[in-house]
Amino acid sequence: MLTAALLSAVAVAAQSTYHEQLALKQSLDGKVAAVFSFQQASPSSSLYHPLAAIANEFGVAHIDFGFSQGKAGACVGLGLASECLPPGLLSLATRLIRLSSLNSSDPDLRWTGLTNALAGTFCASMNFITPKVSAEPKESLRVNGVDPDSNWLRYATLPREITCTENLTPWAKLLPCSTKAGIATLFNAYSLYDADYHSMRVKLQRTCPTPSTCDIKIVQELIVVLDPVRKGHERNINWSLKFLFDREISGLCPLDLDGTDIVLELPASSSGFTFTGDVSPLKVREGLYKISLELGKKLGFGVVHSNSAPNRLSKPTPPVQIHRHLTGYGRERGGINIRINNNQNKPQKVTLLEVIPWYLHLYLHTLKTTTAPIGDLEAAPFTLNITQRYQPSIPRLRPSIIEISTVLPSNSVTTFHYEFDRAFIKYTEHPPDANRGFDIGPASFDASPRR
Amino acid sequence: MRKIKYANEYQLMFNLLNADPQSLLMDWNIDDAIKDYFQDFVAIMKKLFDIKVASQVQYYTTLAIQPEKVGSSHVLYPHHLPHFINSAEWEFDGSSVSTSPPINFVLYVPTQSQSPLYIASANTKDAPLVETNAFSIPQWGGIVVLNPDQHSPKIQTNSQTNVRIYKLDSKEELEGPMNVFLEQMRGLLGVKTVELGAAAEKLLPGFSFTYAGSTAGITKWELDRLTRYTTVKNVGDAISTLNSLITLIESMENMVVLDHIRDEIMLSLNAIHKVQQILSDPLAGGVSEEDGGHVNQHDVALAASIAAITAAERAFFDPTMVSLLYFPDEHKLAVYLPLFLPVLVPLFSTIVQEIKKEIQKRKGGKVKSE
Repeated sequence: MLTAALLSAVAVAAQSTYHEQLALKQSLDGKVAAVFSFQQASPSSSLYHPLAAIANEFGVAHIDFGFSQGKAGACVGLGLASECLPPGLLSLATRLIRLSSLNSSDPDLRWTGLTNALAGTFCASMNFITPKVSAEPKESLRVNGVDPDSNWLRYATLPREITCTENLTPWAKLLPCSTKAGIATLFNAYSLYDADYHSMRVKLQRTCPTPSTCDIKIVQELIVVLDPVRKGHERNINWSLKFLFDREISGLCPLDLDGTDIVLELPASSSGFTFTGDVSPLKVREGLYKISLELGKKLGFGVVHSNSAPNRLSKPTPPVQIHRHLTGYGRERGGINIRINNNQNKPQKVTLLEVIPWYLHLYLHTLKTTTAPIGDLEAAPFTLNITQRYQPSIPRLRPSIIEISTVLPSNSVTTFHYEFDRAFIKYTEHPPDANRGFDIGPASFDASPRR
Repeated sequence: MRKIKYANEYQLMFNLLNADPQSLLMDWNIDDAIKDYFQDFVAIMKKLFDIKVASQVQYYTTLAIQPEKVGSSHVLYPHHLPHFINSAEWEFDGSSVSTSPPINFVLYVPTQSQSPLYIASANTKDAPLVETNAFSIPQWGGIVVLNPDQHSPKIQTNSQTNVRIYKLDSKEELEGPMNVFLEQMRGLLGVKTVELGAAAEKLLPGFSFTYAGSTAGITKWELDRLTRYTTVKNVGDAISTLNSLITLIESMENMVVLDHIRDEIMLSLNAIHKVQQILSDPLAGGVSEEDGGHVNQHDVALAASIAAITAAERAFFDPTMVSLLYFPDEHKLAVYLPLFLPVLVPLFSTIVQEIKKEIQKRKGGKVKSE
């Protein structure tokens, strides 16, 4: 390992880089979304990073997981629908490299080792992600630039997990400046965990140009949707950094050599606003403002709207709307209904991924896919042509997976419906607080055209 | 005791601690420095320990203690030093995927307000300052406090952010600290200087002795001494570990000892026998021809002693060997007694009464019949 690190040090003169930025966006109903993004790229060297060590140990090409809490619906009005995650712990698209040179090439052993190592690093119960709850989707969750044939894909969710300060602290410790400088100084647990929606995400990409040298790119993202109308006594949509986070940004993180920008996006149709604070953001274009952090200088600013009443009536119609709910009653059987509205004037190619725990027995013959035009509620729904891939569950061994690929017609409402029986399970297999019920993970809806 | 406990593998971590990156952002060419100063040392020590080297940089690492101001500089006295490491804020955990013990070397750059920072050699007011500005923590690692030249021409200013960056070069600024680290490393691993001593001076009067140095950081004699010391110590530790294991197994009758534990113990015992065999041979220390190459018998004994201690520890620290997993007799008594005693006591007393009645009846019957 020493010689490998030294070889690379001689050959590659690249430096590790760090960049952070903050994007603030407000919608007409007053909600403010703050997206903190931290990017670290380090070429192979002797430099130690906990996530890089874990990725190297288990032979991982790509990890993407997130912790979130709150209603993802809060993100829809802010244009962040594809960034926000459903509540709980989500481990998306983790790819383990098919390497026979590793100690153990069994992907399940490496997957278990990886989740245990991450559980320790993030003080989260990720060790409950075992091959018993994990799925290997074949059609969904493709990442650009990663060849699906050269690695194994794993997807798992823990919908019952709650995100709290215990997870924020080790997550923030992975940042070079921690919470001492830069945009991370806004991390006030009282404000972040009082938000309508918050999520922390970690994306790691590892590319190995030669077998012994690997470059690592780590992106950490924290999204929080705060509501100035709910906070404070005024009940209006005026806000400032001090009002939302109870603190101001204390200067630039010196490691960001490109400079840190704070991008502010205000609704274009608002009647007018003024900025408060020492420094006003500079206008980039209509509705978009930018302000840069300076070394050693505190930054705080605010927005005062001329019409400060929240406008909760106008909601933009997103191009695709999805509603998923349970049907039926009682503890014996039920069904899942997914209704997708395609509001666009063109057809949409989609892939739907459902991972259902083993204790719900699916009946594939009950799967009905019907579609009807939006405007014409009287029309008889007709069956849609779909390609489906189904993996039945094995009790106590693996979940059931349904992957449906289809083309949604323009201006249509499509409904997928299937039914299940609840299995009779041992009393030790019930989750804690069993009377609350069971949590089923979210379905994954992939609208990026591929193939 | 300064020497760290023996382990087959160590994680060596070089840390650059930047307390004030806002005034001066420190960076270092550690990869070249490791190659220049530590590569040979690590290669030579390969037969004893496998040392994995890594580096990390930490920022905003402020001290938990307050140094005393003496004139225009700040001084840390020996009574401050045990609290130097701010364990709450600084990250010295080592790798999250490895169980090898960590050795940390820290190059500390103090804040602007605490610069320049020096270390005094005694607790008295006018004590002279330590020349190397460094101290070591037994069984943990070592620390060098660096006061960079604030007006050095090597400082570059980033045009976009006005951040001043100072990159420490391997052959210049890092030479002193790396040599100190090497010296501290020798202390941590138990390397002792070997000299002939006063007896030799008496035997050969008039002769002066100069000892050859080594660019790798350890001479052949020192390495040889360490090899023999480690061999004997490992065998002693392996034997005591096996003894503790036996005591543990004998203390619990119900304990299940799995087959692989027996295999480890046999491995350890065989290795100890091998070491004893080699070392008790009067011709040991010579070079034997094995597989066409020259193999020093002491090295073979060392490898066997390492195998012995590793196997003994694997057996002793196996997760199935925890005595808490098995119930001692007192626990069983404590669980079953409250359940059965209230049932058994009236039962026994009734039986005793019945027997007494029977005896009485028999006695009475006998008297009657007589």
